[in-house]
Amino acid sequence: MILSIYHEIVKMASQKKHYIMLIGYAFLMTLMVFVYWKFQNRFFGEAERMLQGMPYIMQKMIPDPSKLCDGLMFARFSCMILFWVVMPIFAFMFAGEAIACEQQDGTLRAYLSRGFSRTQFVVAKFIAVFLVILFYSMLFAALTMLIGIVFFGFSKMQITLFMSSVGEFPPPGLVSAKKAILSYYLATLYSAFAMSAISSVSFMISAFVKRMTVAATGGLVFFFVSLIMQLAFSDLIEDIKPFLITRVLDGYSQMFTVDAVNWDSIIKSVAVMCIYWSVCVATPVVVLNIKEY
Amino acid sequence: MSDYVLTVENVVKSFGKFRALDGASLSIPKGTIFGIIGPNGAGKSTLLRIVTSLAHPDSGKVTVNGINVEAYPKKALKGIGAIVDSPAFYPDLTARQNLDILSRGTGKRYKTRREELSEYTGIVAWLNHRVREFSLGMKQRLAITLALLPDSHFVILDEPTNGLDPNGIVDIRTLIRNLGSELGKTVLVTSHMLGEIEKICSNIAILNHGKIAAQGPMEEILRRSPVTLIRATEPERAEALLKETFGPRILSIRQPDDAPGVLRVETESECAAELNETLVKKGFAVSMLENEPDRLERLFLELTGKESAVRNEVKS
Repeated sequence: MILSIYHEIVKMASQKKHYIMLIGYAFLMTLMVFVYWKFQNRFFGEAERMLQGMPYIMQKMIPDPSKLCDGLMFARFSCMILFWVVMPIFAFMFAGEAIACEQQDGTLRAYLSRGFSRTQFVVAKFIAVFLVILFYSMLFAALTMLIGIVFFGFSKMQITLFMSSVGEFPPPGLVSAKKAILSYYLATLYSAFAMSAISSVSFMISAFVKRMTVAATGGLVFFFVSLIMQLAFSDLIEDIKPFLITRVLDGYSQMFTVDAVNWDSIIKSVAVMCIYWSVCVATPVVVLNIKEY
Repeated sequence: MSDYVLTVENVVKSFGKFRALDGASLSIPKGTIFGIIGPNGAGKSTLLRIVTSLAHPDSGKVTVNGINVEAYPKKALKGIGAIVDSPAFYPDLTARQNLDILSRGTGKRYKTRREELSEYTGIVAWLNHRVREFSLGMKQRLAITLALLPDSHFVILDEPTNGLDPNGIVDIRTLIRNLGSELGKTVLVTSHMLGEIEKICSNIAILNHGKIAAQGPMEEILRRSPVTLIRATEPERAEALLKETFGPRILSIRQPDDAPGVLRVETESECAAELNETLVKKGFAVSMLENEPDRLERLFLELTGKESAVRNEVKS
């Protein structure tokens, strides 16, 4: 199995879409630096005006606002967008081409004609897709933090904004930078698993079709329809909401809250992930074992 | 242990109403270079796909070294290297990476063998090049190397000379012949290029409409009804003399429309020397006496039973 996973990673590493990923990421970061800079200026202005109106003793108690909007804050802010919008697209690209491309190029037939295990082939591919997503998640998280620190500095205390569950904002508090960094990487790790579950839909479709674009687009449509349904008709789809693929993203924001993680929500999200993993890996296994090539 | 590497027994395979294989049976003896020829749509690729477990027969049995492919595909295909359809590789990977991934070979022994076989097939200098830089001929060589790895005793090549230029065809032909004579491999080759099959193979099977129309050693099959072409003076008298002298041993004798003055004599067995001697003794001047070329093509057209239709398709 390890050899199969290694081979799959070698195949994926040779693809040109890595350049697209890096260019996409660079473009996003450029825009984010600009947006954050504008946000910082506005926030500082308002915070200074607020502080000037307060008694001197209170001014001493409240931390310097310029230190709250630092590079780590930038990283947390950027990664929200990175993992909610950009990474799913990349994940769909990798997962969608996993089996479809091999069918299209004829390499699947060459491989299967040797009598190798088809189940192992599918499982190794899925694990390889996950490892690539994990690699890029960690890489982008580290790069984003680095960019943030270079452009906006680093302070020892961090505001808990963006560290709590979406829709359930507790009052902003302060945590140490160490805890904030830990929560940042835990959230990134969680997000890699979530991306793998989200992209598994494309992975499953790729066993049925010969074109990567069909599989990737199919997964994307499924994801965005779920997202729109969840955001627009949240009350009306209460019964099926826990099973929507977008449910797994809820756990992402939970992971930002180091001190008060809602484990119940995390467990539910992981359970949904497991359902998608199981169905979307088992289906290609069955398809490859019964389909004629 | 069976003397046959591959046996196919009454295999039937249908796609909807179309019956691609209709009770095909054949046996491939060890150490032979076996050719399967047939017109387009005869069922050659379907047969190979069933042999390599890429497709499942509706009925019938396929065994490799006595192991049922349907029941134990992994075990049966262990020593088989097959290239079904055109050779397919990962274009962005090097030839070496392609060989490693598609053969799943590992270890020192495998690496030594990979280098030796690459040397043998003439691609050793290209192992570190990406496959997208390869010509079709180079891909065929790489495919043959892959088929031999990690340690195949039975090599299946589907239309290996398809799309190659004349030099490439000669190279691949030589390589395939050497697989049998030098490496002792059993090779199964399919083609609709009859001339190639005739030059490469020691045994053949003719597949038509999903059935094996004939099979056996090449010489035996071609000897079934040898044809001698004779150019002699007074062909009408010569024809009468031969009919009278050889009687039922001559199956047919005529002057082809496209070669007037030439007698085309189809006999039960090889007897060109006797024909010549008879004519010369009776005072005929024989200016040409030769076995009819393209014997395989003739046999193929006869067996497939659609001479005029197939002639256009067959490239010899």
